[in-house]
Amino acid sequence: MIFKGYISSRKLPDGTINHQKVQNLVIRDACEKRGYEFKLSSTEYGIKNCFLTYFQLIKELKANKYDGIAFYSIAQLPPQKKDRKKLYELILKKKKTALFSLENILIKHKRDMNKLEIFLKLKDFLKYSPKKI
Amino acid sequence: MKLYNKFEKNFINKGFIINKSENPKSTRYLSNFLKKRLVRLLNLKINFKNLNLNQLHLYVKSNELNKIRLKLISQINKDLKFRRNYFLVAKNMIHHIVGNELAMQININLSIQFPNDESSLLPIHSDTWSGDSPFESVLWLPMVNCYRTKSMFILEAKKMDYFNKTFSKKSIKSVDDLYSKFKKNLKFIKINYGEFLLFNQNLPHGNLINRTNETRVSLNCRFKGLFTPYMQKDLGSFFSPLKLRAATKLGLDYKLPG
Repeated sequence: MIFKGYISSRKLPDGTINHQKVQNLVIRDACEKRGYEFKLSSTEYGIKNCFLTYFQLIKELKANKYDGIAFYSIAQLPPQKKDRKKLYELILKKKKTALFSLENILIKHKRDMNKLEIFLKLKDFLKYSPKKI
Repeated sequence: MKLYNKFEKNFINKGFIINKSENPKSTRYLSNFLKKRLVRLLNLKINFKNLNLNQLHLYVKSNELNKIRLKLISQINKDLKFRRNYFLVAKNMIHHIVGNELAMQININLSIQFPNDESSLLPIHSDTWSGDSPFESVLWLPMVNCYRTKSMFILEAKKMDYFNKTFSKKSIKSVDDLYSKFKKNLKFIKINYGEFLLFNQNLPHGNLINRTNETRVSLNCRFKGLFTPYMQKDLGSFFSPLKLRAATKLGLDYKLPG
């Protein structure tokens, strides 16, 4: 199965940023562990709230250019649920897959997407939790 | 006070400069290096001088292209003479445009684009959108004559205001959509082997599927003022110092007495 990498060039919503080289290594490792072929990553533009590359990859996934998208992290997903839904619907309709390399999460079925949405909510709410013990 | 010379004005207004190599010997070194390594890697029974890079697609299968390209990149970047000759091709122009205390990208890149190959595309982008500093310039060297889709395209500097206005309207849906919107304003660079292209990487640029019947082989590397701001591509991991002036050396070493 061929997976197209997707890396980021701006700070992720959780405030972290990693070198693109490191992001690619994480993706490559996650793909290798699952026996997927890794296709060189596309980089999301650094412009704030820009998801042009994300939508481009969805378009290419729809055109069967590869079997799945290998994200560096779930934190790269767009904040708007309707934009995430576009990916989910395509995965279900075209039997594709998305891999979130850092978290080692694979989504393929509806139940995976529901779990992921809960996980995203939890991550979002954690910003209100105390940081010091 | 005269701020800019004619080269600088041209670079600012147009976004790029094409000139003859300042050092044909250096250009030859780069070309011969690539040809020698290719003849060896591909196990060809020909003299490297007879290898026509335009016809490289006849010697390499598409699915092996990336493997060959990566091997070549690794060999290029192990050779210090390659790096030195690369700079010598446009040293004076880089001094005019970028400065004379310089940082150079650690790895020189190699692009090989076979006719009709979809695997080595670089969609429309500006390097600054993915972690490069706006203070960088790209030195692009063709190892074959490049024209139309065998070359790269760039948005002319004078169209940048229009680009920014359209982009901020947020009506663009994807990278393909971005290309379609500005297709009319993109210019394909016509450049021959023996010339160099120095361009402003803040301007949107990229390439399309090479629809000619020749292979494109080109090299690219970024230069910036050593002390200008770095973004994600920083000094150490992406750039290395190329030239430091004596006064800077003294300044770096200086300690107040006491």
